Amino acid sequence: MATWADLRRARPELAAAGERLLSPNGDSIAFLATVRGDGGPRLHPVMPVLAAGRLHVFVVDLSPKYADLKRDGRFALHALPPAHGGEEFYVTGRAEVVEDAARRALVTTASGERLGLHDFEALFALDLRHVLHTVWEHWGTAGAWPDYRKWRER
Amino acid sequence: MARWQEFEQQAPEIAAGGRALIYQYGIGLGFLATVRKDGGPRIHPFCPIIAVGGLYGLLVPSPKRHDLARDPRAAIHALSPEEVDDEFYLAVRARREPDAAVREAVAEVYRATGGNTNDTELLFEFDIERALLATYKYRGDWPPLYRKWADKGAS
Repeated sequence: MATWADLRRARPELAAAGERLLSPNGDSIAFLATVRGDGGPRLHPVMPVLAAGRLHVFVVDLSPKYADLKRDGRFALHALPPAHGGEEFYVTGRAEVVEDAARRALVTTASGERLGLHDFEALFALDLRHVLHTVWEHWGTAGAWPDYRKWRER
Repeated sequence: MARWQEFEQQAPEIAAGGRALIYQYGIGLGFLATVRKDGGPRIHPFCPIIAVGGLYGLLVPSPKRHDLARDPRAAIHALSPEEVDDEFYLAVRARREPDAAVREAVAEVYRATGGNTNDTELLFEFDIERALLATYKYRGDWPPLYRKWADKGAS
């Protein structure tokens, strides 16, 4: 799996698009899909935080998505559509529990001290397998057509 | 599993809240999560359509459409409002609806909200297993008021 810092080195323009569309400062919503115990998908909002070169999310440790990520770390994360429309940003990868107190403090600071203030907020790093930035040409018309900009970790 | 109209009859408050969140921007908007071939999750935005008693999606040829043809399990989440983080979540199963008259009735509702349709799309109906509506008094409020519904047949 690759970190966000790896993405920045490999494809800085994709990383920049992701930072613009995800606004990973702990105050913007994105949608996280996880794998349920029965193999079906689960889907809920999260607030990503970029810190120390990795993307992170805090998840309530009693929530179903916490149990999903502990059991099967595979995730998919999608940014909210921007107000002007016409763009999408999507990543898949694997989540890893972060228990290091110093790292947790860095992520909390990067969230503007909004997140990670309670013990029930478990911290996960989201490492990347696949990144997709879609730019829609002729957005809002019947002739809209997607331009896909992709990256996959090796 | 229940069609939208059955869910609406059994849980009218949750369905009304969910409908309002799906249609908060005029056209229906939400995210659809599906199961990839390798068992991992996939997620993409789509336009849910509530019409003729059902919850539908018109899906162009795409990875998510291939996912649903292979494994009908899916999850749908409405977009969050700008002012507060209310949530509407559904665990569903997708079912291809081949009837041309149903497709036209659904497409008509979709076009009336500003949607565009094309001939590459296939119509899927989403049968509902579970629903969750979370409402907050204000941004940052915790915990929200959770209202849940499950079909009697859901495990």
